[in-house]
Amino acid sequence: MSLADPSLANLGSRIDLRKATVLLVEPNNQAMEMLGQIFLGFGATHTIKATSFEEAQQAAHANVLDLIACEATLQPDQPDGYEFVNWLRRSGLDPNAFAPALLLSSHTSSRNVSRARDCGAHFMVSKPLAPNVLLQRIVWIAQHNRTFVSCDSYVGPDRRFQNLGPPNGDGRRHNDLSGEIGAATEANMGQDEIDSLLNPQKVAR
Amino acid sequence: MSSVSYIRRPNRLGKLISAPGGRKLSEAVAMAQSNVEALRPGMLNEVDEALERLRAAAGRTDAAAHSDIYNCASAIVGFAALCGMSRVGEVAYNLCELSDRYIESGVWNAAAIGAHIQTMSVLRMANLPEDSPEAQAVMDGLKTLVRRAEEKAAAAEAGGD
Repeated sequence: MSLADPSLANLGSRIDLRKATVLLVEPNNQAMEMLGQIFLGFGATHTIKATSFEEAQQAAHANVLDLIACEATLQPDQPDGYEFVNWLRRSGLDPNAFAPALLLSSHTSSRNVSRARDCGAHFMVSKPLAPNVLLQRIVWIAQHNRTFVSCDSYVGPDRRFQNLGPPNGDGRRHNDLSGEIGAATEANMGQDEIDSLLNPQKVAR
Repeated sequence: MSSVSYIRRPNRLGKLISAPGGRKLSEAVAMAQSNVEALRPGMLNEVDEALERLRAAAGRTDAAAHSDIYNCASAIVGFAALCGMSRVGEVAYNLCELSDRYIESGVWNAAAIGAHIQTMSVLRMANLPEDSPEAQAVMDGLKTLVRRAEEKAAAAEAGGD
């Protein structure tokens, strides 16, 4: 987990968004003004504003984005925020395809939350926006640098960020372990043994 | 079988926002809240305009009317509670749920939708204190109206079968 990185020691107590480029996608003028003011309060000085799917796409092509806050419902008869995040994840734009994305929605039904999760967003934040909730989510994303998963049906941050063991405690595979951790039965592993479990690889660019 | 790849990327956001300097989290939240507070008159205006558009959409029969109702209700949810109108926001959220369900099922109950719009209008005009018994009575009245409207629609459907 990235928290072990000493350069992130400041996280959790302070926030510096001055050098971050934040894309705000919001079709409603007043809501955009509010979103902009919230991020200004957080110290973000470089925000890019888009009011539609098309403008958001253009912004993603033209800028390196550090964070995206996107309203789920965009212009009528156009692709929505879920589709924008889905497009971005599969766009091949590097590094934007991996940028942290928050979806904002007034209607957080279980269907919408599932759509947000499955389109590749990091979080869905419900409206009316509460600055403290929004900031907590941003800090959480920064603290937990989630691995990206790419397959035919999904591209986005790993959706499994809780280790609860197999469903109902019974795994379907012969080597699935129980979610409960028992007492240690052997001596702790040595550093060499731990290192041998890791297989660091360079990221293909 | 499709292949799955796991990609570990550098933590760009973490590095950027944890740079020395910046603001304490509590200060950042306080500044953001203060900035939002300054927008309150515009937000109030937005609620009133969305309510007006909602009434107009409820009276229409074109194809886009139902999604317009959902969008107007969503807009109200986004602002009402920030202007001290949590009850209006609550009713608007219920309207989002209801209209979304009706759009999905293809069955539209205009009486239940109308009850929500009227309730929001009453709460907005009467300017009742959020935790007053009168405000609670209005909310309870809405629940009864919606239940009756849906029971009536269900009975009509059963009678038509």
